[in-house]
Amino acid sequence: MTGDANKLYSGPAVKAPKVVQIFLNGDSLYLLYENSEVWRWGCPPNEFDRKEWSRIPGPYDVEAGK
Amino acid sequence: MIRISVSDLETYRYWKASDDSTVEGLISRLTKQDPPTPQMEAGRAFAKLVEHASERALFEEEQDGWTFFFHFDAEITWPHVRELKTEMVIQTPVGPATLVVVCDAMDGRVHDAKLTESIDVERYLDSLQWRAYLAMFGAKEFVYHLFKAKYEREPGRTDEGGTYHKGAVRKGPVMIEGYEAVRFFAYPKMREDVERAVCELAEVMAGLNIGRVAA
Repeated sequence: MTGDANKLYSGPAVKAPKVVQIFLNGDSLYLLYENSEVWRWGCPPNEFDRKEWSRIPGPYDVEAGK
Repeated sequence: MIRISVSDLETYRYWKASDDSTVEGLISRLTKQDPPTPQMEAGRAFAKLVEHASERALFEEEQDGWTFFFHFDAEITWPHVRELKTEMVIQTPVGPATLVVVCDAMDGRVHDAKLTESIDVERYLDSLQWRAYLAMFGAKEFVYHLFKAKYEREPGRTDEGGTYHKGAVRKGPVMIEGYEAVRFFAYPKMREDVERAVCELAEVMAGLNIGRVAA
């Protein structure tokens, strides 16, 4: 997006979603953000010697662990 | 032990791609002997501004003698975890080399803010920066937050050959006229591409006898 010199702008709004919950499930660490995003730090499927970040799609049920 | 930053990798990549490169120029850039340009100084001030940006609208922001005027509306997600550093030791033909990276922000994705005079996405396609960051932080998605900057300049001039040269950038106001978020994604064997680039630069630096630090 590009600014228009003739328009008044309020400037970009910075959003910094907070981590509202951190929990462990098995060997993975999960971060639950206030904007409902869930990120997992753990081994990719069928790999055991490295970990990576991956986003868990959809709503995550903390109690059920899935 | 040779210590290499991602900006060293990018310096070397640009140096190789340039037709009028000299070895002296490469040494000067790798050893940071060149004084920073006004754009580099503005970039550093802007990096400091976004590092400390809280949840609010940015409009007219002062930092280190520069004033950034934001002339666009957007919502920018800028995670709380900022300036995250990591290192990786890579075995090269001239011994171990440590690759050091610091990302601007991290939330599972890696984020980097760039102040640029033209938003040219293709410029980033071949970059080793996002490749190294994704490989080293174990992430799959890298987001460049590109802010289009317009500087105030001294009057330009046209030389005898008819080529126009822009005037020098004046320190002070910078108009931020646009914003794009551009995403790059991890791919198979990306880490090998990074390691290959580090090995090549380590050999060059060892040959030039620069960049060694005590292990």
